[in-house]
Amino acid sequence: MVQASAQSRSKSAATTTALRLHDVSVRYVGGRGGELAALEKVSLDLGAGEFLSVVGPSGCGKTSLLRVAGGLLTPSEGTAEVLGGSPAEAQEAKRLGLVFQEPALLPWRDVRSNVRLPLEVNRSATAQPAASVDELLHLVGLTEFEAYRPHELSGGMQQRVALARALVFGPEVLLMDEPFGALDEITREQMRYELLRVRDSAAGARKSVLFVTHSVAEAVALSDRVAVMSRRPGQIKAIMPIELARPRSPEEERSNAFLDQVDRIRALLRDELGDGFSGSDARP
Amino acid sequence: MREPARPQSPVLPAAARGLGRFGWGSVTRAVLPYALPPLIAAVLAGITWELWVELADVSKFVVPRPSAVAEALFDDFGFFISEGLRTLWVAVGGLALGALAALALASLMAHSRWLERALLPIAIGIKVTPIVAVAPLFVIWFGFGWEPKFAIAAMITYFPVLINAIVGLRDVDPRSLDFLRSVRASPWEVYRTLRLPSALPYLFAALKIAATLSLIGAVIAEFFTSGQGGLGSVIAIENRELRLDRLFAAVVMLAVIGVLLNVGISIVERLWLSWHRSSLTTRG
Repeated sequence: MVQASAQSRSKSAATTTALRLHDVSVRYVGGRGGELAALEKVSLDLGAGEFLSVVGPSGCGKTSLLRVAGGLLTPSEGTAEVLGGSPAEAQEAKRLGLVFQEPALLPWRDVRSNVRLPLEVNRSATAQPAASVDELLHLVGLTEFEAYRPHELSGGMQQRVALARALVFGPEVLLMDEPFGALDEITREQMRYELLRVRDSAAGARKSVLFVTHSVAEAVALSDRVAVMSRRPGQIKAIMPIELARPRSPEEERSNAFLDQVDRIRALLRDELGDGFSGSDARP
Repeated sequence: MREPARPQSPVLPAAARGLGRFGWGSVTRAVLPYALPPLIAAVLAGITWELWVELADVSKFVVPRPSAVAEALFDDFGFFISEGLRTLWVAVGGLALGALAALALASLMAHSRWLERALLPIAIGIKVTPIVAVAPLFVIWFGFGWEPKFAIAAMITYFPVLINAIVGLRDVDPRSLDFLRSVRASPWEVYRTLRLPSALPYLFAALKIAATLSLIGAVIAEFFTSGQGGLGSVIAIENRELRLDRLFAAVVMLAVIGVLLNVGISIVERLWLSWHRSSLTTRG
């Protein structure tokens, strides 16, 4: 029953596609001339307005996948398409935002100036800022800290700055690579709901989000669907719909429904880690 | 949200803060911890030197007594100050010229490995050319004004700035580079917003090395244009006249200028690079 309603939901979400990876393979040339396959024929669709998380064992190519989608990495084979064009075109039109595991703020700029950075580069573009810097600072709760330098902020606050910076042009698609991975447990849990709140706000405007994480609970708490990846070379092993109502709250993380979803995904990952072959038949 | 402890301005420890708030009394109190140790060391070295000349009965035509040097210096203090200022002007002018040329060249070389390969051997070749060999030529080429002196001081200072600037312009945070690429920043925008600020700590380290070199360059230049003044000219003349007390007085003046030049650069560095980890971790 859960399965059936999930199908209908993901169908309606897939009527328009925000991001499409088609048969993407990524191979790196190794140090001794050998090839390292990071991704093997990965296909993935992110529906418009959908929140899709990718989980998998470390080294499974999650980050490569996100870099391909963000146009920072050219796939060895296959194509990446964002909003009907190439990732580069989406960036040129300011319709694609990125947040990395490290906030990657410029240490000599204060908070406000870091958030403003995207407005100062590539100004030939016709895109207009979606929200004022003031509104964004307010949105991520950093109004009082606008004159602080990054080193004066906690890790969580730095990541809020990075989020605000990614939202300056109000991109329709947001790519996030373990954005809370470097944070402590408590801040990390808090940031999940912070992110959902931002996404529900006017400036967030129900963006399509591709979210890479190694925390199953985080993926379940945030997502409409969770893609589970196999070990290297990374392939999509299963895509699990998450049947939890929105808006979501931290309290729900203790509910049975939530824990069931987490267990199902953990089981898939355990197969992957325990026995590299047992997972192959689970691919949809 | 808890407000993080805002660190006291780590820059220019007590000295500048004292200057900002209070009168000269507190300035003295603030500067003394920095000025006193080197003064004590200098006085102790002077006493040792004096005792050695006295006890070993060294001729004043071989090594003058510090007391005689001090007497020569203060008897003609105005003269040494004005000659010192000439030398300082040559050194600072040459340093500015050399550093700017080096930064421009380094910007090209950091941009392209090919340019680096093409130009670095030439830069090294110029560097190893003995200044004393070409200094008379510079006078023939550039005449007897400031120009040959600036050129000599520039020639001796550009190299450390060049090497450090190349490293500094390349040593950028790869994640910040990723972000700037993801917002389609042009190479010039990357240079302006990321590479140049990242290179500043390297540039200041190089400037401190180059500042002392520039004084040597200025003195060498004045050697070859003696009769036009400057401490180099004084040293050349007093050497011929065997007035070692005045020769040493000029050397002491030069040392004082060298220290002050370095202190000046350090102050600018601390004010400018308050965001940098080097000024965050080392204080007091």
